[in-house]
Amino acid sequence: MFRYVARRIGAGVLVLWIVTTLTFFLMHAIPGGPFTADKELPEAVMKNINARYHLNDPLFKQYTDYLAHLVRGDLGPSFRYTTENVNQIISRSFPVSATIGALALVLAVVLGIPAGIMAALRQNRWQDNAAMGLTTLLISVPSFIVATLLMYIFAYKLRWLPAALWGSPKQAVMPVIALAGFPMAFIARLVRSNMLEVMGQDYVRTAKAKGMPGYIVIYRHAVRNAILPVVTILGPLTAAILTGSLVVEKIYAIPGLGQHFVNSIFNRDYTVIMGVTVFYAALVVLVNLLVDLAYVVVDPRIKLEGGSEA
Amino acid sequence: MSQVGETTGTISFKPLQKTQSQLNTLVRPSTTFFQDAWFRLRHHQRGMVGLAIVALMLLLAIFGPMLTHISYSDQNLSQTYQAPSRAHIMGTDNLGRDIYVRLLYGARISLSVGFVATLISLGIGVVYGTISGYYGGRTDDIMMRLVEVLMSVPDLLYVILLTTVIKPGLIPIYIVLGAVGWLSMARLVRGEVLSLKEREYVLAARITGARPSRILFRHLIPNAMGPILVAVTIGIPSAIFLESFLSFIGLGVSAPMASWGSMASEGITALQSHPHLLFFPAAAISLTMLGFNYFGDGLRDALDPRMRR
Repeated sequence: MFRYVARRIGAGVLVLWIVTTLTFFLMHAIPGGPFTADKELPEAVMKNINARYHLNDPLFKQYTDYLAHLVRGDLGPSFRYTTENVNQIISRSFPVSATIGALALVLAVVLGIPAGIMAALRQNRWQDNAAMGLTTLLISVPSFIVATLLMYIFAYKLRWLPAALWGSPKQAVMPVIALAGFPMAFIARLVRSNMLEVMGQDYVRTAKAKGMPGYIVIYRHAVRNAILPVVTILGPLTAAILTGSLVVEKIYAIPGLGQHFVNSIFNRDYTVIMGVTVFYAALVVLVNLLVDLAYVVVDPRIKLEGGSEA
Repeated sequence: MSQVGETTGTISFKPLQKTQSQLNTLVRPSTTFFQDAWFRLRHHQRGMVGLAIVALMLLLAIFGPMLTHISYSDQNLSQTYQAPSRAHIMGTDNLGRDIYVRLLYGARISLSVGFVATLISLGIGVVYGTISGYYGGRTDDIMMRLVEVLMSVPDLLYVILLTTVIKPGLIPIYIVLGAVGWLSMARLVRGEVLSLKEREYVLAARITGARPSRILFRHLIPNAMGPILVAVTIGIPSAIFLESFLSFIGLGVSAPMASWGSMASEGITALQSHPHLLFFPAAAISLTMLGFNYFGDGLRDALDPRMRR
């Protein structure tokens, strides 16, 4: 177990190093520095700025410096905001994004699993067709459209919910629903196909044959095995929610990390772009690691052989 | 119940009047794999609905702009924010541009992004995947490790990073979206090649002295075509989605070009007073994605009946 964990952490660090390197050199390949403005700055000012952000150092030294700071968890200053560095920006805005994302994930699991189970138990009947038609619809409609339509209906037409901003629970309702749509549909489809597979297994037939009541067979044998793989897709789902948060936060003017990231692109705030990218990558790598570890715990059939085959 | 009885009652089974020699040779006409698949697809309701939507969108994108006399950038400032009417069936936007016409031009952008980006990722993915799967061993290990590394970061992060580096425009978007889509394609092709290369016909080809390139292009890739096709139909909507996403946050095609995503993004500013500005592009994106997803589902069921659940 220990060797496996160590290997996985090593692989994660490698991923982060590659992502950091790619991002770093991409950012520095952009023509025009972050301080190239329409109005040219006086030479002395430029010199000071460049000295302050170490932009005169050789590129490779800047790179190793960045890595050295990164190892200590320091993502550097922001080019745009002098009062806050990247770490402060992330620690201020990420909790907001994490709250919305976690709520969306919970909603997706709570709705998606029952929907998938029901669809499988009523395979090819109207319940199944309705559930599958609806989930395909949810997979097809991008989150930014769901978000804007919700806003139109519930904020403008019905006036039940505040249209934007962040602070009260009411303001969380629409962003959470908009973000939950895709993961929910994804989970429902996965659970459905797993259920159908499990229901065809010998042990389910055995359980039925020995006269076990149907609902116990379904609960104890089918559902338990069918929802296990949901754990494995939490990684991709986290990535999907993260992606969605970029635009959902923008639509609802929520001061989360997603909106900061998008803004930093328009501000050409390279250190923030880099820092948030590395942070996002670390988040996804961490979730994937936790998922793999959790899977070993919840599914005793998985054996650890240190490989990446699983 | 009674219905079933009635129908079976009216159908009477009669033995075919055939001679013994005819009976001995009684076989159904042989169908090729793709005829078989087409037959199954035809009977897949959702798949056919999807195909119809995709076909309709393609026709509109190709021929639609030819049939209108106004252009996507034609402004008419005396007719801004018109509600849908006979003159402008989907109304006009803040500059008096006809939304229907802009949607038609937007269809060209969105669909071409979908197709071109997917073709690029198909090209890279097929080459990468076949090499990895065919040579196996260490080559495979290293190549797949790289794919895993790249896959562990969300697509959109790469896309956004790349769009900050490249110049804005349509062709860079094709390339950027093609450059992120190949990962899953490479994985899929590699898996197919890995299992196909153990087949007898590949062995036979090798014995007769076929070069690796011939084995790859004549034997392995054509036989992996089914799953590849399915992956393509799944790749297209995700490219369309990414493009509309980029345009929506303002990183996609630039004005006055009309992409569905940028139209939706413009629409949101007037959401309260003129919701039709948002409604039509949103419907276009959703309908197209729905069409491709339904079609992809149908195609998957048709090409691989074992996967059907």
